[in-house]
Amino acid sequence: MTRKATRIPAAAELVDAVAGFLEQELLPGLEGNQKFNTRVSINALRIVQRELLQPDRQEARLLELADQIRSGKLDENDPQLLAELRRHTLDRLAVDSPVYSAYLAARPQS
Amino acid sequence: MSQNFEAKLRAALHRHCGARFQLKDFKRLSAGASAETYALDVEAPNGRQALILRRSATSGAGLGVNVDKRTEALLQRAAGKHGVPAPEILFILEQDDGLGEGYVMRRGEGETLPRRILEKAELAPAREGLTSDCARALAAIHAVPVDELPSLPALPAGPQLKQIEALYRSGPLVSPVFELALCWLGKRLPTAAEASCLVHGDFRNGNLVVNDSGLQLVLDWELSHLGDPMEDLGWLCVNAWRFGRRDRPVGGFGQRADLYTSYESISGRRVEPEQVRFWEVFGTLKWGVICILQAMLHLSGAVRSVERATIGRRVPETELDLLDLIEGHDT
Repeated sequence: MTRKATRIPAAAELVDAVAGFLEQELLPGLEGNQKFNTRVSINALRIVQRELLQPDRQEARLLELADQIRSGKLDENDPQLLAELRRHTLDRLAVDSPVYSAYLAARPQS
Repeated sequence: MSQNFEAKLRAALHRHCGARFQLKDFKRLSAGASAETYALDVEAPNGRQALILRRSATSGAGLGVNVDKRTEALLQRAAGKHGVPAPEILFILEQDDGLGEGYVMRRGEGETLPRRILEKAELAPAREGLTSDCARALAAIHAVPVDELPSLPALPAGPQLKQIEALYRSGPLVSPVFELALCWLGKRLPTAAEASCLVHGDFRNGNLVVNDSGLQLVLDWELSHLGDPMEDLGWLCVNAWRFGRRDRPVGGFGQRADLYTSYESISGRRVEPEQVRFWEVFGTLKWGVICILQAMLHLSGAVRSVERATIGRRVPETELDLLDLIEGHDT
């Protein structure tokens, strides 16, 4: 049974994907200084990967909301629900996709 | 690329087109999960030809909702016979070709990259007419006689919603906004009297070949099915396919009113804006689920790809688009 999460891939998994690409695909073709600094970069990414294995505070609340909506306990028309979902989504977009057109339209100025 | 592949490709061209079709060069264009695409540079009796080979990926890792390559080829042929700007199919691969399932088609001349279609100065006149070009192409697609098509899955709203829900629940991602969208859609299923015409399923900026004469070809027929034609209009307007031009709902280049009016007058079908809205919400959710599936291809180890992994982080884009649509904040 796959572990459920409210965002995929996890940050640590994204970092792992990048480190994997550098190591498997890029590194073999490099020499000298570039090879050295790519190894250093891979190492730096592995540090970040380990650091990122921290629990996400929003996670529990989002799982709860999903469960309540699915089971019909929350009304799809409830303005408070919609406002909370919007808030969480905007927080996520600030990290995942801060220049997305809809995000810029929703939060034009900072 | 193995010499074996090249030899088989040469042999296939000879077999299906004749010995005077000589392969001069080929290169792989994209690394899709379920399909491989190659550009072929071929010398033929009447000159140089730019062809495309599309075949099922040897890895076999797909999204599970695609039609097979033979069906894809046959339906493009049928569509082409009825005025749809579909690619010309030269031949369908057979078992003896030893290249798996696939087909060879003629390459379109024009731009396919969405941002270039939206930004290139030379294409400004083409952009002017692009919305009505799309309306015309869609009207033609929806009018293709079903009995001339190869067998396609029937996916009107209800069954397709169940399919998307099942795909979502089979994955690792939980999204309260997706749960909301599933509820919203479930309560508003169109009860269209006719829900069984050819639907392209992926008609959007990104699958169009556009040159200064306008829309030349519609590509990527692997999500075709029988269903509600309004689905194609909705998908075309999904915000993801506007590539930043949120104020131009039709592919980032056009307005809804123009699309609906043109489509109505050409097809003779009435366009209900609320029905298109249903399919736009549906399409937004569907794209979000596709993002999950793409990320899963990487996470499962089936296809290690930093690009696929990162697509998973586009889910919040679709979540905001869904909230905007549901709350009526959309354009």
